[in-house]
Amino acid sequence: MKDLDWATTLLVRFVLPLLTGGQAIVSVPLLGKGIDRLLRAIDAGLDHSTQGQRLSEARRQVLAALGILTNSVELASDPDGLRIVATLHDTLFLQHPYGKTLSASRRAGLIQHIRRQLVIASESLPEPSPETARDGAIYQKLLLRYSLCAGLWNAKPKLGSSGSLEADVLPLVLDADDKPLARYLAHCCPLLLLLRPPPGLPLLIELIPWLQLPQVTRLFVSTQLRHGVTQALSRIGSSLLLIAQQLAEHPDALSTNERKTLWTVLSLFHLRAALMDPQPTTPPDESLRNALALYALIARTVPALALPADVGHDQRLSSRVLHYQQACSERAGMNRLSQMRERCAPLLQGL
Amino acid sequence: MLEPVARNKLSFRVLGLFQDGRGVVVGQAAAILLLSVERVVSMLRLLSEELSLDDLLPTLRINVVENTLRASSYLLSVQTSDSLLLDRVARLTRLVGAPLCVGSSPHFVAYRDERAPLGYDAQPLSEPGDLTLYTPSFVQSYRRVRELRLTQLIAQLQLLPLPGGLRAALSQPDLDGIGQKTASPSELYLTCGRGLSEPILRALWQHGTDAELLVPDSLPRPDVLEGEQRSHDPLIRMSSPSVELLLRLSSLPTVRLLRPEGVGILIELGFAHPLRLSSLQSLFPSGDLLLFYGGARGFVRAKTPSRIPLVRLISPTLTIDKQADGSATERPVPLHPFLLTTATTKPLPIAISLRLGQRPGGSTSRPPTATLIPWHRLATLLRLFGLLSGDALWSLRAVGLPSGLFVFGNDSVQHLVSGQLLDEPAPLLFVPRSHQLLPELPPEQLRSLLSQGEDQLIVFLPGDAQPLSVSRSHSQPLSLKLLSGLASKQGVALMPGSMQPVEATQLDYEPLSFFSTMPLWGLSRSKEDE
Repeated sequence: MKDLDWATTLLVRFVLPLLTGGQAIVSVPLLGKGIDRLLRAIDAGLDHSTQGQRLSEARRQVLAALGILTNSVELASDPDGLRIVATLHDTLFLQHPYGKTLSASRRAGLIQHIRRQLVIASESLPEPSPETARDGAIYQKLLLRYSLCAGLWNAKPKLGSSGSLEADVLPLVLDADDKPLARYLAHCCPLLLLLRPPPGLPLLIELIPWLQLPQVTRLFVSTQLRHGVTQALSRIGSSLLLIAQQLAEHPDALSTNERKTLWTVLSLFHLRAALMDPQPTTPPDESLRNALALYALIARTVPALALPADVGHDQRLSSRVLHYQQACSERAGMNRLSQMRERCAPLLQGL
Repeated sequence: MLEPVARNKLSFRVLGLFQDGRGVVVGQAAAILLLSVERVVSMLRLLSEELSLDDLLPTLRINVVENTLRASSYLLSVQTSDSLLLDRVARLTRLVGAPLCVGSSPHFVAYRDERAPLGYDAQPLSEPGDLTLYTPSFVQSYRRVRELRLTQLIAQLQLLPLPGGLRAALSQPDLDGIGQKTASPSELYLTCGRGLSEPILRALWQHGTDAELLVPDSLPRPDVLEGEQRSHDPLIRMSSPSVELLLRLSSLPTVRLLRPEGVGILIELGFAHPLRLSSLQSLFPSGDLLLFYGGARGFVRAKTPSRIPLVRLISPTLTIDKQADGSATERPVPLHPFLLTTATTKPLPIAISLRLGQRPGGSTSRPPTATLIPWHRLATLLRLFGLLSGDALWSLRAVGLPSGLFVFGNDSVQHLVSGQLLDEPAPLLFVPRSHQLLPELPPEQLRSLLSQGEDQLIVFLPGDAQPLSVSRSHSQPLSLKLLSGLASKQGVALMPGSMQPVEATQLDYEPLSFFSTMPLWGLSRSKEDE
């Protein structure tokens, strides 16, 4: 079978159903040879085949749902996007009845292959920094990768089989440091994790440098708010507490600038909430109380991060936000505030 | 017979001569003998270029004279005793080869020259006739035949074609081989045949040219000669028209472009009058327009024309292209009443038919700046609201229309994908994206045609014959609060923070045969990257 025909078959059986819904078939792992065949098929004109066109259309729709209208969504623009999808296929094979019966050495070999492919894919992305933020092509690349992998959040195991994607696949440990698949994915496809729908936490420590890119941050905040303001605040608050916990173990994991970025993103969520409704509703659950307390904490500790200068200059806006901050502080209570200060001490250090 | 004069001469043999303060011999008048009418024109041309003829015109006379052999000549005389002025005139007369004499009727003695620096005196003839000229080369008596009026002379003259004609007159000359940027003339006039003025006025208005229509008075006036040519057709005065437009207009038959030369004098572009008419201003009554056309003798008089600004002549109507389903009306609909504030007998109002038609090449390259979201899609808008950036939120405004919520402000409306997008060909004037207003007019013209106020929104909705007009003050900033309020009024079921449901993907694990697992047989963990 020619590479192009073989790749087209994979699109029909797995990649397209993963994006558009339906039945995605997980079969024998593609491994390195299969990925090489896919890359050769891209060079041979996979984008111009009928299935390639269908895939482009499906990716356009994924981006349009985010409010991004673009025409250039070809595989040739970022071949490593297809490498990630193929690796996801191989990862899902571990949930296959045959995959569960693999011997330990074969399983270790497959995991090594998965890790290697994800590292290759992440190396083709530049390091996130304010300098790279000026290059619009990087944001475009992130969107392209997301548009190919976004279907992962929509995938469910076949009826009757036990387990779930969140519980079984994402925590899959890929290396000796117990680093799970999710953290590797955060390196090679940051938007996949940042735009993760509930109930999983959207923010990992690996993703924070990417939030220095304003376009990524705007997309992250807007998309998460679409799942509901209350839910978004709770999830970002919980993510921040989890990162604070990780930071206590590895204090050098985040630079001062990255810590500031994290607090700024939290503030952005609350600012959007403040503009929609200056009076936060009574928090019924613990995580939302924590989220409000975190914002009240940063407003007291570093007010410049909680109230940006441009908002502060607008009398109407600033009074609205200050009123919201006051309400957050009251809802959280003094005890919770001091508790949060203690838990987030690593994050507040040096600000 | 002539003898040079010394300084401080006490008496002259020719009566009327005397010496001025500089000692130059002058008389009460000066006379120039010209042998043909062409020389008269040349002399007048030189005089008008050198001096302001308006100063000399009150005493300037042209007489046809005959000598004793009945050879006729022209005697141009003027009352002056100013030797400085006569010095300048003498220079000009030498150019045309005519003698300049001074004195008083009937004796005129040659003006000073190289041989007689202060002038001449002469022995007068005993029978001088009507007048006698005494010059170093001849002494001749003349009989006055008739007087030639300057206006009669001008009425016989023909314009001279300029090299390059109209095109050269409109374009700037090359300087040192470098083409200069063509500047549009500040004021030009246009005449055309009957029937053409209306389309030309419409074209001028569509190009945004400031123009007015000049309608001549058709009633007779006692001070104007009966035989004079008079124009009854209206003229068009244009202010700073573009050169491209002028070249296009000039290619039409019967269209002539005229440039003003002085007040009330118009000369066809590409031609020049033999005389500098701007120095003969006092000859022509103010208020009239004198039109000099190339290829014709004399001028055409347009008597005290009344001026009508072009805007007052425009009578706009709106027609909608018939849709394929025949839903739209073809009936022209008046946009606003035609208003003429001054009474005039001519001309009729010019009908400008503004047409909302399908755009042939699809949408424009300009991004849309407004969208109309049907009321039943308000819930979708609420879901997408979070996608808008802060900048977009602050600049977008919304106003409720019968057919939906109209959101406008900037191109961020493209993100509100649930509505129909509209273009903004002029500020606060919106047309559907697939349509355009024909003819294509500059924004200012469109606004003035629709009588659009500064704070007024005009929205053309597809299928509707009459555009909607809404005051901008009725709009509000687009906000979640506004949308929520509207949604509750419209009875739209809202799910806060809801996402579009996407069909779930079922992961199906394919049964594998023994041989299909061959790729896995050699799979094992390598140590190279550990």
